[in-house]
Order: sequence, then structure tokens, then C-alpha cells
Amino acid sequence: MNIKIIGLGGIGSTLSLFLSRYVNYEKFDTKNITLIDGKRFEERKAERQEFSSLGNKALIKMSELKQRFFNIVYEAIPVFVTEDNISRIIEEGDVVFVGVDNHKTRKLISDYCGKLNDIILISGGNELTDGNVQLYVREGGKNLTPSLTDYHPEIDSPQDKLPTELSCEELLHSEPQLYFTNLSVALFMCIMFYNVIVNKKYDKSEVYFDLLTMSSDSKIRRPKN
Amino acid sequence: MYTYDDLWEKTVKDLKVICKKYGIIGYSHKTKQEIVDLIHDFQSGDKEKETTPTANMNEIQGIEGNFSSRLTNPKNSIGNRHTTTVQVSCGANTNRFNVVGRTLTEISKALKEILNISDFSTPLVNGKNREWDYVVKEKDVIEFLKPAGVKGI
Repeated sequence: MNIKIIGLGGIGSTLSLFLSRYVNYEKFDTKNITLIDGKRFEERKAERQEFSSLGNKALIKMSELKQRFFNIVYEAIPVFVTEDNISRIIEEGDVVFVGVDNHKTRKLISDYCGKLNDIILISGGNELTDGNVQLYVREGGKNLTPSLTDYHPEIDSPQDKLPTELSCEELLHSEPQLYFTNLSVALFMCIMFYNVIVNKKYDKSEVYFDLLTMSSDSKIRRPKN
Repeated sequence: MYTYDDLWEKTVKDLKVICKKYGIIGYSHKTKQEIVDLIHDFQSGDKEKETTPTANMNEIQGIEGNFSSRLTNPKNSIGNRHTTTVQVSCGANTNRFNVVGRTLTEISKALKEILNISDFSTPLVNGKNREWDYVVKEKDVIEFLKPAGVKGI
């Protein structure tokens, strides 16, 4: 199994740990996890992200996980995903986890996955106290679930920018986030992964949760194309 | 709003037009008396709703309650009774509401605070995109699409 984790912030850094623990002890033929992020870990984000040192997130997280999970082969790609490099990052048959902070990257990845024959894409995002996780599965060149853009016009026509298009000032700017919300997204992404990989269930392709009402609801949606 | 007498003065054809306008179902094989009752009951339900004191929604911190089905004709034999509550959701918030015959615009305004419906939400009925003036029917499943979370890093 080839797993790619794109974005190693509040969601991705936690997810990489949850996922590694599960994959390390399960009977998969191959156990490869690739960590992708062009950002550096900043001390001010320590309230939500756990890194042992300063530096590129993908490289630091890889070295941390390597020391804990010996059955997994890790790789780090310390770049942001762009149109130019996406074909070298995502390959046929991959299981791709997306925990980025902008819809433009989500659309880029979803559109690219739409060109592949077999792919599993799990994408999560959040606001301060709520969030959602989407599952996009393609098999034999057909959509088994909606793409990330099918039911989300805000992803289909993103108003934000790729990290590579942001100025230094814009890169430093970040809205307040809650660690528990990031954890919830990461957990729901793991649940989605378990259901699709182990139980082969993908009818409920989107789940929403809300910490304030302590509720969650999964949705059955049909692919539009 | 029609009085009982107003309704009696109308033809069956006109009464059926009113039923259609209100989104009342199950009138096609009914007698004039039954159709008048249907419309009258429907309007009474509305009147009760209008006279219920409304709280300042900004002050509501949480809502707890039991939601029950409303029957279009409780006197019907079992099997011919129809519930008029439908499932309405937005994001993680979901419940059943008595909204048959209402447009999606009306429902979205009425349930905005309860379901935390965003100004950017778009409506789905039975999984398909619909216009805001769509009138909700029995057994419809309504979802106001909540925009995806942006952040994660």
C-alpha cells in the first residue's frame, strides 16, 4: 500500500501518527508512507502541531516516525504540490490523504486524481469548531464517489491561492484554530480509510462534525460524472 | 388564509388548485368535504405556528426538544395516514421538520439558526440540486450543503 499524506499541519501531523500505528501492525503487502509539505514548522504553532525540532515539516516528521514504526518505509518530499510536480507525487493506485489549508490545492489534487484510473483520495478540512472529510474513489477509470468538487462549488471555483502563490506576509498569516478540531478531522479521515480499505464501504462519501453540538452526520452522495 | 365558508363556496377544481399551492398531498380522490377539511387543517397548523411566541434567536445557546410527525389526516385508517415531516440537514446538524409545502427559501430562513445554515449553502433535494423556489413534498430529503472546511495547517 502506497500512502501519500499531503499537508503536515494540525491535521496531517496527527494523522501521520494515527495512520502509521495502524499500518505498521496490519498485514499489507507493502507499507510505504510518503510525507509531502513545503512548509517549515513554526514554534507559534506548537499548540496544535507536534514536531521535535524546527525545519521542514515533511523531513522532521519522517525522521520522528522512522524511529517508532520499523515496518514502514517512509519518504519525505519537502515541497508544495503544484501543477508542475503533481504527476511525480501522486501515482496510480495510491491512497492520498489531503490536510491542506486551501481549496485551490484541493481542486488541483481532485482534478488530477480524476485523470487516474485507480485512486483513493481522502480530504479533510476545518473551521474553528467544525469540519468535514470527503472521500473520492476511482476504480477502473470510473468515479465510485463524487470528486471533491462535485458538490462543493467553493472548491470547484476556489477564491484562495496555492501556497506557492502567497507572499511571505500572506504565508505568515493564519486564522485561529483549535487542536481538538484538527484531531477530529484526522480521526474521521482514519475512519474513512478503515471503511474503504478494510470494509470496502464508500457509500457515505462525506462526513461533517460539529464540536459545539457534539454531533456528526455522514452523507450518501452520487458522483455527478 | 381562507375561512371554512370561503372554502365551501369554491369548486372542487379551485380547492385542488389551493391544495397544490400549499403543497398539500393526497387530495386527488377525496370528496369536497374532505378537501375542505384538509385545507382548513393545514391552515390551522399555520395559524398555530404564527401565534407561537418567537424567541430572540441570537440569545439561544442550544435547542433541545422532541420532534413529532404531523398527520395530514389522522382520522384515516392505518396505512393511509401520511407524515408531513421531512429530514432536513446542514453539515452535522440534522432533524425532521414539518415543512411540506414550503419552499426551500422559506425553510432555509426558518431553520437558519437551528441547523446553522450558512449564507453560502446551496440546496439539495433527494441528492439533486434544486432551485430555491422548489416546494418540498412528502418523503423529500433536504440538505443545505455546508461549504467544506478550508483549514488544516
